[in-house]
Amino acid sequence: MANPKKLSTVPLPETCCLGIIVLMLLFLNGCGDGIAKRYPASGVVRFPGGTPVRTGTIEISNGTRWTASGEIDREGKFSLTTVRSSDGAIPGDYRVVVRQVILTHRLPAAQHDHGELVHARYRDYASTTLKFTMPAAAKNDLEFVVDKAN
Amino acid sequence: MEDAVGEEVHVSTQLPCGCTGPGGWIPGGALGDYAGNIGDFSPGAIGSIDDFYQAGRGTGVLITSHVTFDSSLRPTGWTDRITVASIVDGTSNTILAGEAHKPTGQMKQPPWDSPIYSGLEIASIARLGGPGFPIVRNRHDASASSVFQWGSSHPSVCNFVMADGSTHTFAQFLDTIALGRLSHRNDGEIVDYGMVY
Repeated sequence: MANPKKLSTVPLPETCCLGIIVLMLLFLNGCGDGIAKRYPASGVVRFPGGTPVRTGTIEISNGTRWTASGEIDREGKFSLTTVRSSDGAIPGDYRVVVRQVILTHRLPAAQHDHGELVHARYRDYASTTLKFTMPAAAKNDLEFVVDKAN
Repeated sequence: MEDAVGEEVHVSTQLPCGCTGPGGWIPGGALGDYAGNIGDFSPGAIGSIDDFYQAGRGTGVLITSHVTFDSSLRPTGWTDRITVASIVDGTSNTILAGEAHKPTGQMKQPPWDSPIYSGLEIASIARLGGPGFPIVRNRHDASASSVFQWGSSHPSVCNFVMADGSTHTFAQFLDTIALGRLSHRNDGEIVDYGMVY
C-alpha cells in the first residue's frame, strides 16, 4: 500500500515557482483581468455649431472584440467603458459610431426633449467618418463633432 | 421560462433617449429569459415608420408585422412573414433568439421583464445586436438605453439559438460587427465562428 503524502509537504518544482511568478507579474502589469491595459477616456460629442448631442451611446471599435462604449448625457458628455465602469479603452486606432434610440409609441415625438439627432452615417462602422487614435496616456479628453440628421 | 407577473402593472416611461413620459400599462403573464432577434440597428430609430420596431422593418427573424383584417375588422393574419427562404445569409448564420439582458434587481419588473407573449413593449419580446448594441458586459447595467440588448447572468458568455435550431454560447465580448452580421438575415455577410467564442 502506497504511503500517501500530505500536499503541504510536497516541494514545488522550480519551473512551477517560476510560472507562478510570471503569472503574478502579468496580473500586476494589466488590469487584473487578463485583458490588455485600458486608459481612461472621456469627452463630449457636439454638432458643428457647438451644441452638444443630448442623447445616445458612443461606441468605438479597433477591429477586435474589445470595443468600448459610453452613454451620452444631456451635456454631450460620455465616459468610455471596455470591461468595468469607465475603465477607458485599449490604445489603438478606432472608428466611432453613435447610436440614438428614439421611441415614440408612448411619448409623441413633439414631447421629446432630446434635441437634434445625428446623421444616420454614424450608425455603422462601414459608413462613419469618425476616427481617432487612442494613446496610452493617463488622461484622455476626446471631442467628436458630428453632422445633424437631414 | 421564468415566473409570471400576476397583474397588469403601470410603468413609468424612462425612454432610451432619456426623455420621460406618462408611462403605460403592461399586462400580467408569463415571463421568459429569452427574446427574439429583431435584427441589427440599420433601419435606425428616429421616430419614423421605418424604425426597426415598426411593422416589417426589422432585419432579423422574429420581427413585428402588419396585420390583415376581414370585413368585420377581425385579425386574419400577418403580411411581413419571415420564411426560411427570407434568411438569405443562411439559417446557421442568423440568430433566432437569445438571452435577453435583464439587470440585477429588475426581475419581474416591466419593462425589463414583462410578458413574453405581449408585443405592447418591444423590449418584452425582442433584442437587437450590432454596432452600438453589444452583448451587455455589466449585468447590473439598468440604463434605459440597454433595454434592447442581449445579455446573460452566466459569466462571460451569452446563449443563442440560431435559425437552424442549433445552440451556441457566444463570448460576452463578441465584437459588435460580428454580432450585427449574425443578427441581420440578409446582409450578405457571414461570420467566422472562430471569432465568436
